[in-house]
Amino acid sequence: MITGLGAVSAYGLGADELWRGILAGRSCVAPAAPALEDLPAIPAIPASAIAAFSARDVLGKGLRGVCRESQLLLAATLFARRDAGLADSPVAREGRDGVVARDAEGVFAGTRWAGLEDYLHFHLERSIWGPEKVSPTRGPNTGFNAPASHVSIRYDLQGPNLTFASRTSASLDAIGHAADWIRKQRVKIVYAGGIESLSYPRVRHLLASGQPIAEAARPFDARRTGATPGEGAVIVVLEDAEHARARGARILAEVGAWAMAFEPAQPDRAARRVLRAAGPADAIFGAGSGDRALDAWEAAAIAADHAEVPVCAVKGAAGEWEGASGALQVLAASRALADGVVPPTAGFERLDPELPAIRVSGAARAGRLGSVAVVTLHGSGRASALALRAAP
Amino acid sequence: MTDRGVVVTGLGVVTSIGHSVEPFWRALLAGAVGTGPARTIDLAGLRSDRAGEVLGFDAAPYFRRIAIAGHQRATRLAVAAARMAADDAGVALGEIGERAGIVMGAVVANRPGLEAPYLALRGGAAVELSLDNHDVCLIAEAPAIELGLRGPVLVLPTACAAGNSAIGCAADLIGDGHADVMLAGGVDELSPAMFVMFSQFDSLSPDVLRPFDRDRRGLILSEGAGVVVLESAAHAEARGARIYGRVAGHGNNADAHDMTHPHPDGLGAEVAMRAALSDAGLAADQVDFVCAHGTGTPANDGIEARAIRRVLGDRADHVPVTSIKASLGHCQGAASAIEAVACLLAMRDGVVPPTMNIRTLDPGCPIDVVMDRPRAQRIDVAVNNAFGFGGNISCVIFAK
Repeated sequence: MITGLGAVSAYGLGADELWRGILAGRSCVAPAAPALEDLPAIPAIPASAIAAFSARDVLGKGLRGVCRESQLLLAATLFARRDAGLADSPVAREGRDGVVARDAEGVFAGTRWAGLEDYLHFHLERSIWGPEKVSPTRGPNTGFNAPASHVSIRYDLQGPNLTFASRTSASLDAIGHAADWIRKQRVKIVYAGGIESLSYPRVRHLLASGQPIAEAARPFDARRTGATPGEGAVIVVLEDAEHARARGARILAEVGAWAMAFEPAQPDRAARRVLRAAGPADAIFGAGSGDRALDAWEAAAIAADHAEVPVCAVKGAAGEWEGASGALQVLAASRALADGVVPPTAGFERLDPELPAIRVSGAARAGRLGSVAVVTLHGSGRASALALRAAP
Repeated sequence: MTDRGVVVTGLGVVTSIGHSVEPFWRALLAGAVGTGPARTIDLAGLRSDRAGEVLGFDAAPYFRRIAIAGHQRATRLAVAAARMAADDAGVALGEIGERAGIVMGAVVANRPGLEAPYLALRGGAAVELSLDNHDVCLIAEAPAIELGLRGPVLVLPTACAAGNSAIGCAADLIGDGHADVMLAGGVDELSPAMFVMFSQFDSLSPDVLRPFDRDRRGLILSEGAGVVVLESAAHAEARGARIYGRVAGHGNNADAHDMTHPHPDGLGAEVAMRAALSDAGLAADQVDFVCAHGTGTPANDGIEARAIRRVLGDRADHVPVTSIKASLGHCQGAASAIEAVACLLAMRDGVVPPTMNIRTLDPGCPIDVVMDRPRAQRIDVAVNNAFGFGGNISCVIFAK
């Protein structure tokens, strides 16, 4: 069961701020130019960046040696715990005589580039200052696993701790796998989600690879010119059904089937496979980002078996969050199920006539939803899907 | 751990002491040490000049379908080990593509190749800094394309526990019905930045890696790859596959203590070992062999040894424990995957490989370390430990 949501995004602090922005079809795109000490400046690009985030204000003390990516995931976790009514509940720990820390909570995070900027910064500092003068706290932040690890340390979460790096599916895979762990009764609660920052190497990569960067993303629209990069952290509280009922938790949605597919050179086929595996859906929360090729592959897959199903592409408003995209989509899908509304696809006005007919809309559509499918897709041929159902 | 059971039917490794499975195994049993003064990487100014390098290895013959050009070292090592494991298993992967996948673990894979271009950028050079070939995903996707795997293709960069995490995850994916066959393992390459980090922490050994030694000084960073082929028992039996053993269970926990220091009581290690035994439906007194994380750092080995003792009780006096990191160095994200291969070969041959380089066993490590020479021992249940920075801990249990 999904019993809580937390986020930090360009929209502000918390899941509510992000959801309201998505529901209003409002984008937060502004010029952004990530910098890295001693490296040439990058020309500003349009991006959905987190402009002001004071970790100290949100999280309090004890942040020395905690990199920004980890701070963002810590904040998302804090908000998610509060949203789930878990903030003050004790975390059960069993000592050395404990059989297994059965009630210890877990953390599963998805990311594509976490730690990379710190890795390069660490390397450059060494070259500039010598190996003995590099910031000693930076080293452990160079790894992909730093955000999930920092969350476990700060919130004393001794349960399973995994980091996924499966491109734009990373955080959806983290959530899907976490649900499998809970179904097996290995753990009662997992904070699952994703983190991606608008780092210097990521933006340099976007510029170097010649990918068009759009000021307005316009998924599936005839006028779309590319994706808009974004950053954010999302945590979804996944909880064992009995555990949630026993403590009277509010249930936002129930997690259903998780599917993965890899079809190099045929991303549309991958998306079609995972959509089929996810089962019938009243709405699809798609990967559509405004990227011309990606949207075409996804539209082909949706049209094949789900042509009548309403489609919502939240990246039209929030941007492309790469490793955190799946969790962003799950957040929107969970609120959609709970609130009975499919948000608009921001920037969408008219379906690209070169695409097969699918049901995208620039306006919100109210109505009860029984089940939805969340789909992630990447040009490498990688797709994942997760089915969500309305709370029972 | 699963209704159907998951078995191991293929092995592949690339290491400093052997470039494929049998040469690696023979060298390990013979007490080879693959670490030494670094030849391919400049470690000037650091506390140690030692590394475990894979020298003279050509990955090109393992790239039969895809082009090797442009791929970073970790991707190359991953494709080689995956191809070896697939060949060893003899399973027609392409024919079951949608039901076959791969999970790989790593720490820094494909990132070290960015160090030089970023230095050049700082120096004012106009360099392209596309990350296309540096995506860690390629350590799973390139083998998947090479071998025709079209099911789950995942990467778990869970620090130095990554290889075990990947094996545990892949076994779960089979158990949960996501696939019938999964390759799983880990890979890593040498990174100047990681040497600097461990040098800063004064955790590099100046000569050799001495696990559980009273005077141990630290680890030696290494490169390599290890991959195993996992299959549902039903799938393996239906095709008459040779079975090395089964993945009986696994445990994954966080120390939740510190980014670099292990919990002083080894809490996460103990909990993960117990969780793995519980997942496997096995009791601690059924354990025949522990393949230790054993990094040779002052912090790890005593804490790990005492955690092992708490799990095994007095049987720890005669359950063989070994750390093959003495021979290989610490292969980072590949370490526990290579150690998994060692567990399965130990089970096959009834022999525990030795822990080399110990001069005086640390009395603070109250366990039965197999020193200097291999020990003949029937092994039905092997425990493979892996602990990583950030407190990521993964323990996998293999059984006959």
